[in-house]
Amino acid sequence: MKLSSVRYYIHEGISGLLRNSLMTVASIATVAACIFIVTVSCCLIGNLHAMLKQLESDIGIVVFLDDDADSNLINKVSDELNQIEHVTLVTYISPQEALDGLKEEWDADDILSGFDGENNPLPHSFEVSIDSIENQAGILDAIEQIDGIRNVKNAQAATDVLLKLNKVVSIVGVIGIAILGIISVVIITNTIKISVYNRRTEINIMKYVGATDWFIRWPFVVEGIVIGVIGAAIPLIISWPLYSKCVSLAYEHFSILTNIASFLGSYEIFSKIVPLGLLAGIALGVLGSVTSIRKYLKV
Amino acid sequence: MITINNVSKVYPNGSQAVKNITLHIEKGEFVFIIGSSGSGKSTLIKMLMKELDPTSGEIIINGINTTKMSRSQVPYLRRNLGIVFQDFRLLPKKTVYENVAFAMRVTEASSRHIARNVPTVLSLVGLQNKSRAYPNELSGGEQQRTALARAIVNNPPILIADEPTGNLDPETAWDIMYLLDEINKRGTTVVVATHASDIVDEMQKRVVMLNHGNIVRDVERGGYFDEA
Repeated sequence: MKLSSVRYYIHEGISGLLRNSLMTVASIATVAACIFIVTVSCCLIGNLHAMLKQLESDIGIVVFLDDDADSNLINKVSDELNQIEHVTLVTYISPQEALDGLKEEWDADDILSGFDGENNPLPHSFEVSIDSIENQAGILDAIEQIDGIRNVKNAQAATDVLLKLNKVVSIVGVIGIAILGIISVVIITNTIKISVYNRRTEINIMKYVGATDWFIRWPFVVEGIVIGVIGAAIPLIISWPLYSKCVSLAYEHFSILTNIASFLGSYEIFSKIVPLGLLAGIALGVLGSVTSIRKYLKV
Repeated sequence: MITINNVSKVYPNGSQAVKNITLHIEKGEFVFIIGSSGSGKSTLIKMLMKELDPTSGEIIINGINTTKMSRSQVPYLRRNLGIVFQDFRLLPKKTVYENVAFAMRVTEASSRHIARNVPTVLSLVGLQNKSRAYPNELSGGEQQRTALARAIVNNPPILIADEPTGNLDPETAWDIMYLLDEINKRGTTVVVATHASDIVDEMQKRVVMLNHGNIVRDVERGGYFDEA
């Protein structure tokens, strides 16, 4: 491909967009609408996912040691817990710390005051955090193998609910985005088809003067790229500040949420959505253009 | 230059447009293909530029058997054929200059080459002062001359014209025919399908007459209604 041809394709593509300005606006609006809907869905699903993950990590496993545990045993168990795969954090809780925790939780300083020091009936314990809730069963098995442990506690019911919820969100998210993607391709292809139909005589003439298929296609590919980039940029530029605003409003009005879970930062989520959105826009535009002109190339 | 061997064309609806035609056209010839509508001349012309494929037989253009050609080779065949249509087929949103330059751009010619050739052919067809005009600002004759300029700008060995004067008044039609003759004298093989009996009579070129898909007459220097 010669440089002069490249310049020609870009020039033709852009002047094609300007000449058929109504179709261009319609195509860009279609891409923009589709990408906007997908972006909003991604934000919702992404946050739901992040919140579930956060809840997962809050559900730790608590390991209680035998009453006569000494510092040797505590160190040994701590080491062994740390060696188990998928364990992210092991925190030692002394009987005194456990008691202080209880006092705070129950708001009952007086009732529990007699249990300080030697009278403390609470055992030594560890809080074990794990990377993902799916690995919990395996980790529990591993913990049971360790000597000197009296009891292992975990929130099995909550775990099951979370696991199911996580699965549902993943499946619904993937299916939803896939359906939206297919609808987008169909709408965009149709929009571009109309613009190609308006130019079928032009394509026909090109064929008669000896243009190769790719010579005819390239300007349309350029059009597709421009439509895709602009069509993706508009919803991304709108939805980024919109998302930040929504998050801050949510924190303001539903402060209770802050205790349960926090939203993903707008940079965190949009640094992933922006490149994906632009890529998707370009892919939609190019795919739409190339498939739409195929019919008219057979002359 | 052009060899048509036992070519037949049957359309999917069963009508047989061309029946077992054999025709040979030498390099540098000027040939009129005449016949009433439905005689098969349009089908023949379309097969020459590979818009249609023959049902049987073979067509050899410039030494290449076009019936065995793959689809991707067709553009390169067409660059050897200047094609002129009855309805001009200019790009309406491009100027005269751009329309002619376009045929060169397609062959990936350099900008310098384009800038040199386009004005030359435009002055050959007498449109040097109209290069910035758009097709809708031109008369029919001027539009057809633009189409002629576009057809010859790549200097093809063969020029095919399908009813080139069909949409023009008699006087303008003559201008176009003189131009075709001029192009022929510069060495291009010219094939013209036409209804214009007066022009055919006057020019005394080779005449191939088709009727119901058969060649009924082929004379070296003939008129439209000569006896076979």
